[in-house]
Formats: sequence, structure tokens, C-alpha cells
Amino acid sequence: MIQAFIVDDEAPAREKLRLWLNDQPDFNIVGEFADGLGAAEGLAARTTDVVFLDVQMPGLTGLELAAQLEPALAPLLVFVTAYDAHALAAFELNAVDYLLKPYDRDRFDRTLDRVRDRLKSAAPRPAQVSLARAHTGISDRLLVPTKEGLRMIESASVHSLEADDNYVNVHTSGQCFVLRRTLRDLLVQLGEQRFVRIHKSAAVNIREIDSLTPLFKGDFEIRLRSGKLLRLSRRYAADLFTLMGR
Amino acid sequence: MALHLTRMRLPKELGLTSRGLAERASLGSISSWGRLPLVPLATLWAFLWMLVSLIEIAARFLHDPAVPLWQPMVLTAISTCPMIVWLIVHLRSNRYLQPPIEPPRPWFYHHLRQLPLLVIGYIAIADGLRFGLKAVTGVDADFNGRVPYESIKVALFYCLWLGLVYGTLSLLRSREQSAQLARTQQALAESQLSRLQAQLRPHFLFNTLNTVSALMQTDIVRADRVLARLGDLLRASLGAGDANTVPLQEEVRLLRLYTGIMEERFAGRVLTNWRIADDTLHLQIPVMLLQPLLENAFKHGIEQTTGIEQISVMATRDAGRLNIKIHNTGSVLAVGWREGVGIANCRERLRVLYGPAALLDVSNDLHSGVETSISLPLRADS
Repeated sequence: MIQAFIVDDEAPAREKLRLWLNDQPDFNIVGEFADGLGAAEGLAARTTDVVFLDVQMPGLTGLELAAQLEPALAPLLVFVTAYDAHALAAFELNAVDYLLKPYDRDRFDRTLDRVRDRLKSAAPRPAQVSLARAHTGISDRLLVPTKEGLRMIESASVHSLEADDNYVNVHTSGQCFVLRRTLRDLLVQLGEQRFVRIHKSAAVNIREIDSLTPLFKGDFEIRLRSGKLLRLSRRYAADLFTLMGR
Repeated sequence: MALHLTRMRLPKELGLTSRGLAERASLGSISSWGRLPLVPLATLWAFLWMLVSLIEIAARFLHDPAVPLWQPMVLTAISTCPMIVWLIVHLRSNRYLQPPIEPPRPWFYHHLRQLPLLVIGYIAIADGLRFGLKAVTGVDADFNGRVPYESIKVALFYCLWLGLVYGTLSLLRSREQSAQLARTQQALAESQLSRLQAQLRPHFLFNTLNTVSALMQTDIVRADRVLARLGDLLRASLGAGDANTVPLQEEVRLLRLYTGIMEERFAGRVLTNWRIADDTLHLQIPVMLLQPLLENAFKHGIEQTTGIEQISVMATRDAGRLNIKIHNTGSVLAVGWREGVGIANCRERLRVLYGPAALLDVSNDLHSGVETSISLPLRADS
């Protein structure tokens, strides 16, 4: 069975998707969400194969939600949109799955066939996440898990990122959030001009750097404004100095 | 030209906004004429006077080669002094540049009236200088028939000068006006475009069609109702260009159609509240004035929130004014927010129709929410 999420803020639009998906013997709806943040929480709570994702939604739009996903773990995304000239151009260019409202049964069936093919093949997932990122640009906000659920924080409030196996610890002033993401992908999302790697498994917000003290063998010690001390490996020192304009 | 521009008939569907633009354009051209093109005028004057002086020196020399060359040159130098004084006085009076430069007759008449004064002043100053020169150096630059000769010379110079000034100013003005006209036309085209886009509202249209498509699967009667409302709304916005004002009742009917569709789309997320006083129903208001404001309330209050929010539309009549308020919960104006196209258009229409008598205000309301209020003066007959 193909597990599916439906995400749309308009009830009739959800109902139409639900009715037509229920007609399919091989699709099983495992979640329905009326806004982006709710959907993100749903995606964090359970795995799913495909998400029918409305683009225009309150709080977090479909594209913004997609931009927050780790590409390797992301489900297949089918964008469902009424009218968004810029997004449409991107979809058509990349020929990923999308549905234009209003759509008819034939168009819907073609999309389902494509979803089935994609899920069957072992080929890498289409680049919907990077497509969404290309459209939304560098994320100014980052979706992070808390005890109560997901929360949006300002990217600029992040001081440093430290990788730990398959997780990344996101440090802000006084708080630490654990994301199931790779450091490399997180840096792409947040912008490599603003967050810079200081060694293999850590990166800092370039604005938070307070001072640098030389250590042995070309390494440096970085002091952040918060007082936190981190090591800058010589492998990444040159890149950091270039970005800092030295 | 400036007068023609304000009187120019503009396409009817552009109506109010474009008239405002044309007014602004013509005002702009007048105020910019306060700036004096001093350098071109002074250069023109110097060139013309030099030409006259050279002809004079050459003529005097050819007429009587016995006279030493310095004598006509000194005489010309002396007569240049009063002309410079006259130029400065004249340019300071600024009358050259006062509109209208068209029609030409009053303009020339005004300036030619000053000709006798110029001739007398010219001869007085030149004679004074000549006597001064005679007293100091003993050289007498007088010759027979000097007074009639100098009078004719100054008169000819003055006429030539006026003609050239008139031509130059006309050229500058026509250039300025064609630039102004191009700007006005561009602004008109842009406002036309934004109006077209506002009418189409593609996002609303496609989402509504999708709602109809969804309802068709479950409830044909409701699907039908949404389709009929959409049809009425489209018909009304297509025909909106034909009338400038409609009774409030008619505008409210459209608002209710729109609200009915939005209530289907955002089922369970919106509560609407209508308080339209009976004595306001027949009052005339600009057509489609409230529609964009209600759309804003839905866009910010409902479409971008997840809870259940309220939208209220109120109209009252009070002390010769019609007051309309559209209120939504679920959103607040951020610090430093800027008016969007919808509100800016409304404001412009009100300004053109009612001048300062109409008020439009968008503000945060005490109990979380945004309120747009409009206050219009009533026409005498209502």
C-alpha cells in the first residue's frame, strides 16, 4: 500500500483528494492536514510515501515546507496549486509532479501512475526539495522540533551547528534543537554565505564570531559572542577568512 | 498645451484615476517653468547683441572710412552697457516664463509695450556715458542723426530678441510636455494593467473552480450555488466599468456573493457579520470600492490563519456622512507596514471623486484585528 498525506487549507480541496484517493485500491490516506506546520509535524511523526501538498497555505507554504525537508528522507511530493506563475514555471521546467487546480480525473490518474512508477523504481528521488529551495531561496526560518511539537525559529538566531552521526545539534542562545538532517544539507538550506564550516562536523553563524586565536599547526580557536569556544581546523580556515573579507 | 492636456478626454473605463494623473502632469509642467533657463537665454542675448554690434561697426566704417576705427567701437561699447542693465532687469522680472506662452499675441503685446521705455532709458544712459567719456578723455563719439538711428537699432534688436526667445521657450516647453505626456501615458497604461489584473484575480478564480469541482463529487446543489455566485460576481466585475457609482445595496450584494464563495472554500474557518443600516442602502458609492477591501480582510484574516476568524462589514449614516467599516480578526498590521495596490487604488479614487472630504483609514483595532474605515460625504440629493 502507498501511504499518502493530504495537505490543503481548504476543506473542499482536501475532500476531493480524499474521495479520489479512496477509489484507489493501492493508496491509503494516513494523514490530512490543514496547514504547513501541522503537515511538518505529521511528517516528523511518521513516514509516508507521497504527500499531496497545496502551495498556498497559512503559516508555512507548501514550498517553504518542502524546503525544510532532508532530500534523502523526503517523501515524494505532488504539489497541488491553483495559480502561482513563478512556481508553475519551475514545475514545468523540472517536469516533477504537480496538479493544477481544478484538475480532472484523467490528469489525477496520470499523476498517480507517475507516483507509482517513481516509488517502484530505485532511481534517486526527483529533486523536488531542491526545486522548492530554488524557489523560496535561502531559508530565513528553520523548522525545529521541540517537546511540544515543531517550531519555526529565525535562521539568524542560530549560533552554531554541530553534527552528531545522523543528527545535527542546532544551538541558539540558551537552547539546543536536534534535527534529523545532515550538516551539509542544512548548510545548503541556510546559505553557505551565512553559515560557514569550521571543521568536518561543525559550522558557525559568521555574524556570531567574536574573535579568533591562533593555535598550533594553523588551527584557530573561535570565540563566539555567546562566549562559546570552538576549534577552527586549518582545512576550513582559508574559506572562513575569504568570507570574512580578510 | 498645458490647458489642452487637462481637458483631454480619456477613455471612459479609465475614468477617475486617469483624470487625476493628467491633472498632476499639467501641474508639474507649470511648476517646472518657474526654473529659468538662464544660461541659454544669456548666450542667445550675447550672440545677438554681438551680431548687431559687428554690423554697426562695419557699416559705420564703410560709410565713412575717414573716421578712425576706434570711434564706432567705443560708441558700441558704450551702448552695450544700458543693454546689459536692461537684460538683467528684464530677466529678473521673470515675465518671459509665465504661462501661457500661447497664444503669442498677448505675450508680444506685453513685451512691446515696454519698447518706448527701453529706447528712452537706453538713450539716456548711453548719452550719460558719452558725456562722461567726453569730460574725462575729451573724445566726442557723437554723430549726426544718432538718436533716430539708435532708436531704430534698439527696436529692431528688441523685436529680433523677442522672436528668438519665443521660439526657444516654445521649443523647450514642447519638449518638456511631450516627455510629460509620455510619462502620463505610461502611468495610465500601468494603472489599466493593474486594474485588469485585479479584476481577474486568478488565484481566487482557480481555487473557486476547484471548490466547485470538489462539491460536484458530493453535493450538486451546493456546487451549483457556488457556480452561480461566481457567475454573478464575474458579470458584475466585467460590467463595473460602465457606471461610476452604485447604490450601497448593490455593492453589498456583490460582497455577499464573494463572501458566500469564500465561506464554501474556508468552511468552518470564517464567521461573517453584516450590519448595514437601512437608511444607507440607497446611498451611492463608487462602484467596486469595497470589494478589494473585503478581499484584503479575507486574504490576511482568513487565508493566512488556521483558526476560526471573524469578518464584519458595517455601514451607518451619521451627520451627512456615510461611514463604512470592514473589520477582520486574525491579523495585525506590522510596524512599518505599507499600503498595497488595492488600498492605494481606493484612496486615489476617493481623492479624485471627493477630494479631501473622503477619509480612508486602515488601522489595528483594540481587540486584535484590522479595521478599514471609509467615510464619505453624502450628495445633496440623498
